[in-house]
Amino acid sequence: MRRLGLVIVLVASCKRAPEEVTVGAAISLKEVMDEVATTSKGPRLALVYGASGDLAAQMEHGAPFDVLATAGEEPRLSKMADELCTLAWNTLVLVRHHGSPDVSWTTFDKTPPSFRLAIGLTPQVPAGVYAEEALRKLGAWTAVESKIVRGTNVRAVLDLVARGEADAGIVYATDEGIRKDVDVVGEVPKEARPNVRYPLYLSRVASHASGRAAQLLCGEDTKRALVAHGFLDHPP
Amino acid sequence: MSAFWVSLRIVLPALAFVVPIGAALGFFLARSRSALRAIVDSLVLVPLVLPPSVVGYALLIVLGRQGPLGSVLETLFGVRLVFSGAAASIAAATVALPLMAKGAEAAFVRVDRELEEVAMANGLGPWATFRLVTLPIALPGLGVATTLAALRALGEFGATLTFAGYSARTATAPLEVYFAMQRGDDARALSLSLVLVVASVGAALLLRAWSRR
Repeated sequence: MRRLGLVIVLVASCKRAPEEVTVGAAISLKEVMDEVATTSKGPRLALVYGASGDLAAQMEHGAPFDVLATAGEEPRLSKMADELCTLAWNTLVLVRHHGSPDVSWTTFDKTPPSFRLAIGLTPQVPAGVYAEEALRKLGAWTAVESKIVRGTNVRAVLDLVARGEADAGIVYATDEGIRKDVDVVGEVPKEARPNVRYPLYLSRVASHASGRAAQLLCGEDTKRALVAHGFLDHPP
Repeated sequence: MSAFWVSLRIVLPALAFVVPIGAALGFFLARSRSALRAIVDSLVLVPLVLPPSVVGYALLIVLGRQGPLGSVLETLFGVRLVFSGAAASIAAATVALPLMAKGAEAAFVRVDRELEEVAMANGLGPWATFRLVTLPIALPGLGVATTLAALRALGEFGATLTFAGYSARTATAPLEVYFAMQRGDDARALSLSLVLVVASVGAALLLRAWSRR
């Protein structure tokens, strides 16, 4: 009898709190989403952060995300979710560890052999995909390829630079300033600028509350918070 | 498969360090009655019971570029550990050493001291006694300890990811399973997992055979 009681308690505690909406978000959105979740008047948001590709893979494997905000299109989500709106846009910056040798977007070929450039792990970290794309467009890829180390999400890339394990790194413009010991070298040159877009997906099996939360996330309050954190409200 | 090749290149150097040092530690633990023994005994288990992320973080703080040891290594020898196979070996060795030391301790405790005394009384020196009496008796136990340490080193994930990072040189089989899964490459994740399962079951059977001897 007591065992049955325990089972009932366990099962009951597995049930989600009423109206809680599980939101998977690109880790570059962390500060904004934390803020939005505390100020939003809509359903309570349970936030999960990670590399966008990891979140998409988790959803594909059955993770119960109601809403997903990724740092780029995730085509494999089309089977289970619909894109609702674009939250914001972003750009890439080259950052370097405070005190590391000078470097710029166009001088990777002049860096010493021990130089390390941190970018995101591809294909699951969009910031890494964008960084590779930009470096290729700038004709810098072959010079820098052997010097690249990978972070498992864009904040891990930033961490590598902050700790000096990498001399430089490519992150979003909104990521710098989050860690000290990181200096911004410069924004990605115009001719190589990738279209960093944050689409918002709503799961096809999501509840009514999730739909309402997604609508709110697509609304003006979130947009204002995003802009305040340095995100763009137009394509770069 | 390349992930297993990477794993071997990380685990073998780790074992080259862990087996002799762990066996020596085990011998010390089995025979010493000093106050130092109590200290070593409580410290040796720490890397095994700590969360691997804590072990990896500690290694990063000490051996990273800005760490006290890491910065010395870089200035003196130009060595940068993070992202290198050496870093993964260090992580694997750190978590495997406790199993080797405690296993070796158990192996040496089982050796009857009287047999050694008889050998010594018959004129055998201490080294010869160790080589001809102690070691052969302890050998099956040392084999068990080595196997357990090797499996722990082979299965290392958390400390490796935290300290050594994910790079071509540190992409061991366990890390590859995780990242293949995250990429959506289930075929690779599954095939690597199956090989790991077969290897582990094989090792378990080996352990059984050994401990029956």
